[in-house]
Amino acid sequence: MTADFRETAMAALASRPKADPEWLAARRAQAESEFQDHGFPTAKDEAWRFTSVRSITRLPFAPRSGGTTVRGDVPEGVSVERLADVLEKQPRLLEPHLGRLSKPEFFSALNAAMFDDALVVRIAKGAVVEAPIELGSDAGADGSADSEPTVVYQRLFVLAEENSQATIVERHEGTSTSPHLSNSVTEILVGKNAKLSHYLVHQGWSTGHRIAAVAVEQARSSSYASHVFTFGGALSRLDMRCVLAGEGAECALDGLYLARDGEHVDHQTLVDHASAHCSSQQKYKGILDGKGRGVFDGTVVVRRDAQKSDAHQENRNLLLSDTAIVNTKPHLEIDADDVTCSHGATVGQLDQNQLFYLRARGIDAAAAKAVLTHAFASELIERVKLAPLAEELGKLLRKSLPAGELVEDAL
Amino acid sequence: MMLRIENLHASVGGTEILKGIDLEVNPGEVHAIMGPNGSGKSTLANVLAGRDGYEVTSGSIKYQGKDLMELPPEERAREGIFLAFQYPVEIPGVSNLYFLKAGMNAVRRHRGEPELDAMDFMKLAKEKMKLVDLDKELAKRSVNSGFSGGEKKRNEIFQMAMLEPKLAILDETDSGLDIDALKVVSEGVNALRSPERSMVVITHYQRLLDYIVPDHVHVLFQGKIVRSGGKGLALELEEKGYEAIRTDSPPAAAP
Repeated sequence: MTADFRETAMAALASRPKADPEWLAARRAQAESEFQDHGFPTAKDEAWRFTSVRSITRLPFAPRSGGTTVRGDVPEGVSVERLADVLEKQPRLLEPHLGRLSKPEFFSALNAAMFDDALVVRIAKGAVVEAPIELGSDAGADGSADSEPTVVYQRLFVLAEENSQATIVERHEGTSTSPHLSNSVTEILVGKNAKLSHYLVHQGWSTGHRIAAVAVEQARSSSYASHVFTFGGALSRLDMRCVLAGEGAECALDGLYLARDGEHVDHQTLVDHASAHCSSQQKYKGILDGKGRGVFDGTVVVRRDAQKSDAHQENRNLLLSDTAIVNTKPHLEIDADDVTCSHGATVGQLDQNQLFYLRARGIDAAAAKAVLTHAFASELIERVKLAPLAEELGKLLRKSLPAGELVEDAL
Repeated sequence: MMLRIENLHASVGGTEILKGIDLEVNPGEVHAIMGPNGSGKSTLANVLAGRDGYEVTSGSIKYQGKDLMELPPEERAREGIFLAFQYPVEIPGVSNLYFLKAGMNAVRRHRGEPELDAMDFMKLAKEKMKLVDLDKELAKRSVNSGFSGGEKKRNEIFQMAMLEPKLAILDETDSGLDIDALKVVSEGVNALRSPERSMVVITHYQRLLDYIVPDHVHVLFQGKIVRSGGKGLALELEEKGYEAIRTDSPPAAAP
């Protein structure tokens, strides 16, 4: 019998080099024992109820290097270093944070125990950085069709210091026809009065699996804007967790996801209003075609002392076929009494009146459908503040949508 | 003959709405179809444009000698049929001009004419916007999104001017318009009258026909045309009301 992922993971854990400072070694050991005890999630775990990881666990993924790297120049006011280099210079700098923001659980526990090539991004105190910090990875590069399944463990730590302003753009893909997995954990600390925009673009392949977690903690009066774009993938999962820890912090979480035949995309958000006078906005939209499947699970927690919280969450889904499925579960847990909260989820099809209107002007049915689908998605692209990225995303969207080339032709 | 409708029966959701319509429209003619609410006016417009859910159960519609029922809505548009919607649809995220250019070029390809490039299209659009006094900025926005009722109707006539149809069906283009907007829209429509272009103007009120003067007037009642006449019939209706016209109507000729 061939090995499964649990077996290859255990073997990899046993043989990984151990050269960390004491505090980090202790955290890794804790994560390792968490993974040994609980392994991978099953349908019994609430957060994984609609997403089976069987397509991952049955394959003997072997670790390979391929962490997130810098693409292009690092702008002034920003440092991007390998964790090993940071640890050598300042062994205890990250001790209060690394591994604290992201809770080690299932895949993130395995990541915490296994990650090798972590990247540390620091935005200096007071730095106002115009140019985006561009990062990326290719989880399947160099793989050929008959190569063994491989996994990369990606780890990113971002420290946006007080009063800084910056933008991070991450592009992840997996350009291999053999099965590949990226297991990614990102921790982000947004300091007092700092502003961070974070674009996360994932272009999935039919052979590619991605399990990613982003954990953000925001200090007083800070602002974090996330723009997630997930274009398919055999299985693409993102856990986005944002803790509004300091008073007056605000976050805006946008997401656009697309699942076509045979693809499964799952987005989980958790916004934790832990302090008073914070605001959060979430807008996630999904397009499901063929036998594609989408999951959205969004939670807003407002703690007892988080008075004057303002929280809004919206999830809209467009089903393009009778066989596409979406599970959406928005919910609020509110323990404070003086708050403004709203949430809503919709699942629908293309509007027949709009379709007829376009056709009545001579546009054929397939093109009319493509135009309306594009319009549904373009709202989130219009919210992208970097013009070249917005253009790139528009092209990627038209490439990924059914009959998207008809929109391109008409433009 | 531009349009020949014979003994048209049509149903919506299993309920018969049109119960035997006969109508002939020659090139260059303007026909007004008047009737109270529920008489089947909008059903007739939607059947002609090919909307889903409007089922023709018997009879025939010939457009320039072709069987119209065989064509999907986009083919009808390309063949020169234009419906000015009673309720123009808002389409957020689709630019008004982009959508119109896509439609126009589909029509031009069908006619074997070269597609318009962006410059020629804009030049033409600017010229036609003037016809109905449509704000340039409005034309660039998403289709009908946030337009007032009057702006939506002007946008319909602007599209008609751009697409240059052979047969235009105006479905209650006057509804929701104040008198000034009605004049602007009517002037736009009148400017598009030509010996080659026919129009079917559907309205509940005689008022519109003061501005768009028809060659023929038909009264639709309970799914049938019960009276036909010249433009004077509209005035008679205005005076006496639909009820009187119906009871005055001569008995249908024996088959």
